[in-house]
Amino acid sequence: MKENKFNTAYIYIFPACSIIFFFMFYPIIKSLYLSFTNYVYTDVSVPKFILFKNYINLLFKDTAFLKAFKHTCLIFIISFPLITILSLIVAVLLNEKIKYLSIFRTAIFLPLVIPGSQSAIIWQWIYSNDLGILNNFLQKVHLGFLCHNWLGDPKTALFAIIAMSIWSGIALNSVLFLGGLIAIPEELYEAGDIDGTNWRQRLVYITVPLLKGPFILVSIYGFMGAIKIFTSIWIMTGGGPADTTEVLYTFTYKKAFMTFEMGYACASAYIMAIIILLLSWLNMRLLKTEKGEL
Amino acid sequence: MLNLKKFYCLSVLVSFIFMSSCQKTKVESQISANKILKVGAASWVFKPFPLEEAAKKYEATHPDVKVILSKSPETTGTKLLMDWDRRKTTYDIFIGLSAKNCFAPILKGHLMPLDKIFEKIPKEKFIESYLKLGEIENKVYSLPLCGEIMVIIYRVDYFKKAGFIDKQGNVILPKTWDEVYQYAKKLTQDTNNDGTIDIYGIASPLTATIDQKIRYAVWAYVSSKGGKVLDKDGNYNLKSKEMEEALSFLVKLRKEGYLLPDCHVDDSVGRNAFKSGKIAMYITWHSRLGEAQEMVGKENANLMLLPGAKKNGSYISDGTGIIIPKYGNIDLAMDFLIEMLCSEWFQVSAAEKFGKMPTLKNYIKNLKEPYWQDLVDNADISFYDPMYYDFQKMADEISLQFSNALLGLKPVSTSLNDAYENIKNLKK
Repeated sequence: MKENKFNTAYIYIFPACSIIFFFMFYPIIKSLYLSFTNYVYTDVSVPKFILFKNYINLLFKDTAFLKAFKHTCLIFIISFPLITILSLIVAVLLNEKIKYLSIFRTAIFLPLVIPGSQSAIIWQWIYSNDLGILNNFLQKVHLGFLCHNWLGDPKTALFAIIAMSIWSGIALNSVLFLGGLIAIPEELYEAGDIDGTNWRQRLVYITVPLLKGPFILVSIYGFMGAIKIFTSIWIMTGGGPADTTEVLYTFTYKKAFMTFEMGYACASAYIMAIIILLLSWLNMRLLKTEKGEL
Repeated sequence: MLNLKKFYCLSVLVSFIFMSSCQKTKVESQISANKILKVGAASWVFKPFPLEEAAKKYEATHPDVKVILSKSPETTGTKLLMDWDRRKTTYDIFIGLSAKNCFAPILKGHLMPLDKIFEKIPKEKFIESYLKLGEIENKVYSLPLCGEIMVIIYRVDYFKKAGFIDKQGNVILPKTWDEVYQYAKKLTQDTNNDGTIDIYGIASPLTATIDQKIRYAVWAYVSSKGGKVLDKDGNYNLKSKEMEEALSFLVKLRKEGYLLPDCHVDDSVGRNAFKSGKIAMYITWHSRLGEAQEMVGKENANLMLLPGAKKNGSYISDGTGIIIPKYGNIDLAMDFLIEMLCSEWFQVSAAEKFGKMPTLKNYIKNLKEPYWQDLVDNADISFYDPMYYDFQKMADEISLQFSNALLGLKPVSTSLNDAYENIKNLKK
């Protein structure tokens, strides 16, 4: 009877497992294999096995890749701490019992429900040199000297995109923090009140230590968000002006689907995957809870 | 045990539903008794070109044929290529790929040469340079549905206001590129004296990232100056005097503030700016005139050939190309191409309504606008990007380096030199 149940379980999970195998494991293995070849989809010649040549070219010779890598790092270094701190502040504020709370919560969560492509178009309009709301606003408040060609200037384009990614990143992360905040037992704050703690002490000694779980999630999403940034850049600048907003994902996409250098693109994608895995692992180690759980 | 029975029943049911959905519907099986012609086209093609009308007309003259029109999201041909690699095709005839995207399918042997058309319509009737766009080893594989040529679209009212008029009140057009610069300088204005420029003298689509349009203005300038974009071996002549002059011209305009500052961000920026009155001259495809006139009034916008282009030509491209894969109904597709897509009513309709240049010379005789003859004559002597194996890589690299120069990230000569070095080993 026990064996029969065991077989039945296998039958039940078979469809899901086969889907996972064909749509996840097979592409992962196949793309790993391709990353060691010089496969160009539009090429008529047979792809050759070239071992680590793609990886060596990418990491040591390809200045475009290294530039994209630098921009990705810059986005991560600037946006990650800002998103984390601002999300925590927003979540703490949204956890207070204030008037019109639902309106504020809706406003903060709005970027979550707007598709990435649409918010990129909206931000492209906001930044527009002549017709953009940002420059118009600056003029209206007599700060016309700050008006700028935000997406057209190589010096500001990347920062304009970072600002947009912070706006969208805060939404998801504050939801995660808010969930963690709601889960903190009220009794702990009451005990703190009895001990005479002030607002800052409550935040530092009660709230933040108990938000370790959400912190891990937020940082993993932060790593992935920064490295996987694509839609906003693709729509707003396409990696330009020149290549000043080119990041790893846009670089890989162009290699795969514009010049069809599939082998090279797979190697680039694997480098990205390794970076994400390493950072996530490091993050888990650093923020490991006592029980080793999230 | 009961669970297993339920599982088997469910599996049979799901399989039944799946198999029945794979069956042809009644309508489809009725159609399959006749001949079916599957015509695929990029979505935008349906607006300027009367494809639906063409399908109906073709069905009326060929009662045994059913034409199925489909809008396709294809822009680079990747999905089509994947189909063709498996010796299958979704469409018997496809409209929407530029000739430059057809190199790989041609090399892989997926496309039919279209030379059969020339048995019905002599080759001489076509504008020769457009045929060359899709030609390899004297065989045409991609036939342009329409042609585009780089010109300057200008605001008549702004020219008049700036005093560029003769005694009869006619607009005086710039005759040299130096004059274009002078015009741009004079036409750039802060109309309300608030310290910001309200009208820029000139703009052009100078994008370098996704569509690499920055090349167009440079190629057009070089050609109109009598320079050679390609050398005698077919390499891009990036170290020529004219090439440096062309890029320096754009850099100077930008540096001095006469060029629309963000026309390199997005292709639509310049188009919208012209339509909203923000620019006085726009170096672009001739067919943009129609949409501009719609917005600013027919009397306020017109086009001119590039300075020197009448003698030396400009830069041309196919608006979009027509291809026939080997794996569909070739005869029917070829027939539809000859009878409908190359017909006078079809091409003239797109020219009259949307300014799309017919690819057959004699079709322009019935077009009202006086500039058509000049455009056709000019197209015949203009430069076109030839079929190039590593086209995308070449376009990427050249555009990136041009963009570096335009934005002041590198000197013009260094940019041109870098572009030359980076493309010299690409496959032609």
